Amino acid sequence: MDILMSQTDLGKNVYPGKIELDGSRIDFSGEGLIIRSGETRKLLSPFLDVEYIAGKAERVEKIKGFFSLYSFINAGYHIEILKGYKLDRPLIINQYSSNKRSRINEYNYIFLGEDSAATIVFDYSNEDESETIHSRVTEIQVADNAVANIIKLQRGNNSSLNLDYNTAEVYGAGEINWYTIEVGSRESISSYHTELKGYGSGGFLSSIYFVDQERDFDLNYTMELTGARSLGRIESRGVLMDKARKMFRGNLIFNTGAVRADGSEKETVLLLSPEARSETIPALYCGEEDVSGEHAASAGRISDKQLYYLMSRGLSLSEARRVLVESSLNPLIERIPLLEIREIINEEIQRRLYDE
Amino acid sequence: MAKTKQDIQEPDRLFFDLKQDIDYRNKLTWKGLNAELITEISRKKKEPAWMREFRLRSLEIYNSKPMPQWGPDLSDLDVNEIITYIDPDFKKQNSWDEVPEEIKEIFTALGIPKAEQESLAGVGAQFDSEIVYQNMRDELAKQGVIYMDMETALQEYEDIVREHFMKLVPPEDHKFAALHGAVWSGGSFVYVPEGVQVDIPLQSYFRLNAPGAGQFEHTLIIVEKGASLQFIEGCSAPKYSVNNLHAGCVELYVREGARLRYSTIENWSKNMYNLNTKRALVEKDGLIEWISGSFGSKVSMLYPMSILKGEGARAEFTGISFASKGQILDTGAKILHAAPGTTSTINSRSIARDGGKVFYRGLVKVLPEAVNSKASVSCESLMLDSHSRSDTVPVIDIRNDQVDFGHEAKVGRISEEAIYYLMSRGISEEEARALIVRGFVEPIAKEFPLEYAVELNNLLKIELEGTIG
Repeated sequence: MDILMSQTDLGKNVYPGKIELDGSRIDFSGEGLIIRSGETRKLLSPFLDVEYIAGKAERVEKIKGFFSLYSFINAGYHIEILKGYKLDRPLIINQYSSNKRSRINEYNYIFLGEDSAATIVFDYSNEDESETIHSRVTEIQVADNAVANIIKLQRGNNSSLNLDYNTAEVYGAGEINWYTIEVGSRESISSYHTELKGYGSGGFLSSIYFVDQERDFDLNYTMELTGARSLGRIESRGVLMDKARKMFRGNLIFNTGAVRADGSEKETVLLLSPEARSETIPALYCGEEDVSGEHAASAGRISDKQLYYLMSRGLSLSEARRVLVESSLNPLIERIPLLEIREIINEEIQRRLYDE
Repeated sequence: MAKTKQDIQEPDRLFFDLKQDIDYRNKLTWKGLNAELITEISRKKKEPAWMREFRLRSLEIYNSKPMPQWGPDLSDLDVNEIITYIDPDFKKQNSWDEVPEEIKEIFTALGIPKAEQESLAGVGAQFDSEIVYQNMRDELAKQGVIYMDMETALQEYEDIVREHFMKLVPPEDHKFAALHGAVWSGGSFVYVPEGVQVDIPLQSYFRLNAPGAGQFEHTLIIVEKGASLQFIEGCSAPKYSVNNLHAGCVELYVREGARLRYSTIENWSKNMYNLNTKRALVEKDGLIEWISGSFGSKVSMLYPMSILKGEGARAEFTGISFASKGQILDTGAKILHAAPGTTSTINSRSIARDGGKVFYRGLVKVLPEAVNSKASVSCESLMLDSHSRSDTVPVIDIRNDQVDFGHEAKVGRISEEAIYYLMSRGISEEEARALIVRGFVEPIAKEFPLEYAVELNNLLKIELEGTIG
């Protein structure tokens, strides 16, 4: 059985140290897992990404603004996976926003000890259509030989604002696999900064997004390769419809000393409307000679031929479009290790496609 | 003794470093920037009132703009310490024999008169602030081609100049465009009438000789409907211990169905701030080709921009940067797709060695009306050691869905497998490395006019000497 946790009953902002959450303390220490709710601690990293966010000064201000919110944390978990423990069930954390819980400031800290493994899902959604602001910071440390699978599913309602900042430090031959899926929120600014510090550390980020109507996504992914022979991958696939707008910033940073490090980033966008706006900055910063770095980006549309072919087989226009959207996103959706999450994503996208 | 990789030495820049001993004390030189100086430059050049006012307005804009807050650090550059104008005591000539001996010597060393005879249709040579030599083949003049220095153009073709001067790069654009507007001097004016094909290139060569001086030449080229032109720009300066500044401006108008190939080989000395602005406006079915080689300067910020205004307009950018010790070459290309069916290709290669920094910074913007456009960007960089840096930031902004866009970039090292392979064929390691570097730049080098491909190869050889050559 999955370990399911949710935080739903917070109505007011409370100060650190006084947080009372439902299921306030779950201690799985007998199993090698410790979960405490709402533990706050000094932030590990001084929000490295700000300097890598090119252009758009107002965005930087906004992000800085939400950093200052961290004196008012009212949600989040402290999770430790002890040395050698391999969590065999996914840990699923649901965070609901609602009119009673419209302002969430969440802080999560996750630690994976040596040789441990865990799959942790964060599922963010709204219970109603009220306007909410959800800002969160998640910090992860992965020790030698540990494997972290982190799945973040953002499906907020169309009037909410989502601000999401994530950092991971990977040591030794540890590995982190990020799966970020964004389909909801009126506006979403999210950032993932992974630093691969050890010899042979691995960081893999798969990003899937679907933006329609007049919604606006700002996606920032940074893979910083510091350790020798570290391996970093960023791969993003997304669909833009209507008057949607997205900014993709992919940063590959090779620090001096990252000998034989290998990094790549790849972005594919499918544009489904003449009014959609797609901005991409796939940056590559390199201070080490002996590396291999690559980035590729492409944008395209569904060709009339493809649509015609599918429709000649009896599909309606919207069905044909759905098939093409799915086939565009599927290469990444398929990688998500949990069937139920894959199903949720497909349902969300279908709902949005037919909702027009 | 075989050279090892540790033997990195400052390459010999040969004739590029020839300093001409010119007595600047007897010349009028102006340092700094103020309204009196600008009025005086304008008066000496016998400019019309609108130009004088334009200069003064640019000065105001310059004073009101902050230094760029992005890109390389410019804090070491004090524009007030730069000599903004050097009054020449000789007139422009159209025969090399009449050019003062010491100046002729330098251009001869740079191979300009020889190239003029052999492969060019016309040459302009600027020494410090003014053009010293300008000539063009008679047959071109008979076809109505105009090639002259900007000062003369302002006198003889005032209307055309007024209509186009700093319209593509307004002084409001950025601080150094405003500086250029205030103190510009020299440069070339080219007008190619409708349907005229200029098959042999024209070349302007810019030489900055005075220590601590600035060069602010203005290049204005208009290629009328169905005409074509190849234009080559070369720049160099000897090395001094004080900062020099180059803030030129290039404005290119490519009319319907016209073609323009604009090639630059820049080999400024390593005390030069090269803050140049280049822009082209391309009308229906026109083509602009930029060929750009950046080797010299201490700091370069150079991003030639192509505005694809007419349907079916095309832009091609081919560039190579090579940064060595103490250099920051922040270069790239900007393309604005503003009409349906426009096409652009950017192909950039950069090499960093011995602590040099290369930065590719580019922009491709596709406006909503530019449906059925195609854009492709390819940037590759090669790092020759680990105390150098190579960064790539290409910005892509697409605002409609009828676009085919592709981008790829790579950074890497010389692969050991390739070296082993070449060595197994009896080639020494150094030679193998040099071969691979040449192979890396080959796709770019072949775009250069032949003589310049040779010059490019020589420059590479000079630069690679001691590292891997």
